[in-house]
Parts: sequence; C-alpha cells; structure tokens
Amino acid sequence: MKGLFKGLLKENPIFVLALGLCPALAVSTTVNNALGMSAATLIVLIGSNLVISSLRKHIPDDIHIPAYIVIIAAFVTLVDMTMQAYFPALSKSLGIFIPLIVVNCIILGRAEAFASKNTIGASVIDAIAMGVGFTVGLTAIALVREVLGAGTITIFPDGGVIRIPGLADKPALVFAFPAGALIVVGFLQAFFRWLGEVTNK
Amino acid sequence: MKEMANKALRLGIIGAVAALLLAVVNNFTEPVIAERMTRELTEALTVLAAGGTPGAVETEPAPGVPQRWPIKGGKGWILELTGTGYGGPMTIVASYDTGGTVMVARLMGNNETVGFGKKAEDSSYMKIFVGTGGNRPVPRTKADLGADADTVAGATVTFSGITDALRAGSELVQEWEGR
Amino acid sequence: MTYIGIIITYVFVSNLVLSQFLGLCPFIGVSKNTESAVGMGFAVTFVMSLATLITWALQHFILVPLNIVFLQTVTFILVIASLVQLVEMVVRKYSPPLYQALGIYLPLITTNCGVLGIALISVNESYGPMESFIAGLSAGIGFLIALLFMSGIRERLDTEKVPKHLKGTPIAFISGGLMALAFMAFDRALLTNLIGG
Repeated sequence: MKGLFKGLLKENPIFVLALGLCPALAVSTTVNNALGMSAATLIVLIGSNLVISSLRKHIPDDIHIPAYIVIIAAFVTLVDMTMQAYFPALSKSLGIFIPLIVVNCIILGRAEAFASKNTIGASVIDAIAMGVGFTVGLTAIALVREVLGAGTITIFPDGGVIRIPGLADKPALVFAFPAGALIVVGFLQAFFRWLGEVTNK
Repeated sequence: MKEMANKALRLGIIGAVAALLLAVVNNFTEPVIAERMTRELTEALTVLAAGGTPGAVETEPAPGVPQRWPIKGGKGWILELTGTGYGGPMTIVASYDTGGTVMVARLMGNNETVGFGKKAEDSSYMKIFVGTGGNRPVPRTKADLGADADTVAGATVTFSGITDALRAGSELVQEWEGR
Repeated sequence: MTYIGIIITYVFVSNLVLSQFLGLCPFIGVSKNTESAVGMGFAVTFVMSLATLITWALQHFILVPLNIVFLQTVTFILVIASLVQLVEMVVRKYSPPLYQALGIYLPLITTNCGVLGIALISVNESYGPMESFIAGLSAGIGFLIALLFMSGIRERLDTEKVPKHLKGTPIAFISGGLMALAFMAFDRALLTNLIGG
C-alpha cells in the first residue's frame, strides 16, 4: 500500500525526479489535454511494465535496451492508433507528443529500475504509482497555466469549460507559452519540495 | 556465435510479435480513421459551399493552393490555402463567390498556442473576414478592422498569416473568373 | 521553405527547447557547467543531423511503399537507438579524444525527445532529404545554443543567494523560462519579411 503513494510526493516523477518533462510542459495548456496525456502515459506504463517484468528472465542483459524500446514503442503506437480512431479531438491537440511518449524517460526509467527486477504484481503497482504521480504533477501544472493563461478550466472540451470571471477576458497569455510553462514548473517544484518537508515532519 | 544467434532470435521474436500486434490493431483503426476524415471533409465542404453543392476536387490549381473544389452551377470556389503562423503552417479553407468575396472561412490544422493564435479557431474570429475580398478589400492590418479589432487582439502573426492567405485566394478567384 | 529559412526557423524561431518543449530533460540535467553543455550539444547535433536523414530514407523507401506507416514510431526509435550505439562505437574506435569528450553523453541521447521529435516534425512537414538534414542540423545547433546559454546562467547562479526550496532545478526552470521569454522576440512574420519565407 505504501508503494502506491510514493509517486505522489516523495518520488513524484515530475517534481522530484524531474522525469518526463517534455510532455508535461508541452501539453499542459489545458486541464483536458493534461488528463488525456496522463491517461495515455499510464496505459503505456502499465502495459510495458507488465510485459517487461513477465519477460524479465527471457531477455538477456546486453539486448535489454532495444528489447524494451520495441515493447514500449509498440504500446505507444497502440495508444496512438486507438486515440486517432476513437478520440480524434484529443489526438489532434496532443499531436506529436503521443508518439513522443516513447522517449518519456519515466517509462524506460521504470522499466530498467523496477520492472526488470521485480515480480509482475509489484511492477504493475509501481506503474500505477508512477502514473498517478505523473497525472497529479501534470494536472497541477495545467491547472495553474490554464487558469492564468486562458482564464478557464477545461475538463471536457464540449460543455465542461469553467470560465473564471475577470481572468477569462484578459488572461496573462504568457502562461500559455513555453516561457510561462517553465516558470510555473520551477515554482511548483519548489512548492512540492516544501510540501514534502512539511509532511515529513 | 551460438549465443549471439540466440540473442538475435529473441530480439527478432519480440519485434515480430510487436509488429504483428500493431498490424492487427491497425486493421481495425485504419478504416475508422479514414471514414472519419472523409466525413469531416464532406461536412466541412457542405458548410463552406454556403447553400451550394461542392464539385470534384482538383489538386494544386495554383502555387500555395493545395486543393480547390468548384461550387456547382458556377457559384464560386472553395479553396484550401496555406498561411504561416506562430507554430508553422496553418491550413485555411475558404469559399469565395465569383467576385472573389469570402463567403465562409475556416481554420483547419495549425499548431498555434492555446489561448493565443488558437483563438482563431473560434467561428467568430473567422467571421470578420466574411464579405471581404470583392468590393471590400481583405483587411491587411488590424487597423483596417475598426470596431472588430478587439476580436483579434493579440496574435498578430496568426492574423497576418490568415489575411495574407485569404487575400491571395481572393485574387486567384478573380483571376479565374476573368476580372 | 529555403534552406536559410529552415536554419533560422529551427535555430531561433522554433528553437526545440525554448519554444517546442523538446529535449528539456538534458536541458535541465546536463547544463550544470559549460563544458558538459558543449559536449552534449555537439553530440546531439551530430546524432540529429544523421537521424533526420536516415528516418527520411526509412519513411520514403520502406514505410510508405510497403504501407506500414503504423510502424513509424517503433522503427524511428530503433533507428535512433542503433545510430547512437553505432556513433559511440565508431567514435570510440577512431577518435579516443572525441570519445572522452562526448562518450558519457551519447547513451543519454536515445531518450532525448528532441531527436525523435525533429525526425517526426521533418516527416510531418514533408521535407526532402536535404531539407530534413538541414532541419536536423539546425535543431541541434539550436539545442546547443540553448544549453550553452543555460549553463552560463547556472554557473553564475551557483554563487548567488537562492531561497532554499528554489535551489537547483527550480531556479533553473525559472531562468529557462525567462530565456524563453527573450526568444519569443524571434517573430516568424518579421523573419519572413526579412528573408522572404
């Protein structure tokens, strides 16, 4: 049970381990995109951790990197194709960052550090923990950026948009840009550090 | 040597299984994606034809115009145009009457940043161009818009990318119609 | 687009790190000092230029003719990973000094999303072989420049007083953000007018 919560604060992939930053920043312009990206990453994480841990005795050490990459890329392509077919709007707004999940360091990182050495059950729990941590981090960034940068909170693109009075008409556009994103991540990282310290005491 | 072959075999099996799995899934998703794209295109063309019926597609009728569709009965043209925005090329589709006046304009694919150029995807944004091009010129700068200028506040690059493309389209239509 | 247009686009206007969100992990991870930033920058530039060229060939001679574009992600990343391995072996064998300088950064490049990113962007933009190569090369140079500037800032930051919780990566992110703000001045329309597209 303890393992399930490590991804939230102590080993939060985005804020503490600083992994998976590119997608975290690129798609965090709206909450809806962030949730879509998190779901895609979570599926790939669970799938690749599951397959890699079950094959761990059959993959020789010196070919493990190409083998892992093929497995991860296959899951990413599966998610990509399914999204294009059944969630076209989401697939369009996440664009190139769906295939780029392949090089999200969280996935290869967890495969190497955890799934290659542990049982199937433990690896799946690790994948869920990391995926949830990633979701929390990504959604936090998206929430701050969307509220400040667009004055809205988009949970579902059709009808699930909350407009914040005052901000929606004159938003601070800079937060929609890379510059704003980097600044938000910096401050959130500091905030999570502080939170980690406070909760540890 | 034997060990080497063993490793290559294992890697090969993983690759083959992955490729096979993807091929199977692709078999299911590809028709769905193709069908959706055709449907979206037909829907978009019907809206663009503004009451008319779109005809058969022609590719590359002029440089900078990847595709054009005539509106049946000589009522005008639908053009696919490319403009340059913040995030690279933007695809704009617009219908013109025979005088080169914009009837409907839509921004299709683009990489503009949300909350900035993305605003151009709103239908109200593209509406300000409707009715321009023939007797009234397509606005060149935001100052030409007068009261509408507020709608496009902010994204200058996106704005000029769109107007440049629409103006080029209007000129082409007027040329085709011999004006 | 002209070659000069592509160079200016990927070095400045659409700089991978500062305006496309690609390659952020090494941007934060390997920018602690100038020496390693330069090493990583050159290694990435080298791999990117080769990778865009090879993935172009792969896309046009194998994936499209055989109608297996759905294997794009899998094959591209495999090509990049093998390329990185190959470069590592060649450099180690023929140029030990270069290997000493770049060696430790090479394995990290496989998971640099900038490499796969620029390969996918080149394919999406339907660039030709020469255009793809130049796009890869300029994206690499853009990455090198961003990394070099960042390392300069971080070396200065080491001697500054920074609030406790902001030390290390948080302040690096914030400085990176301010740098990205400066890069927003490279306006695409301005450049289009200067060089004519």
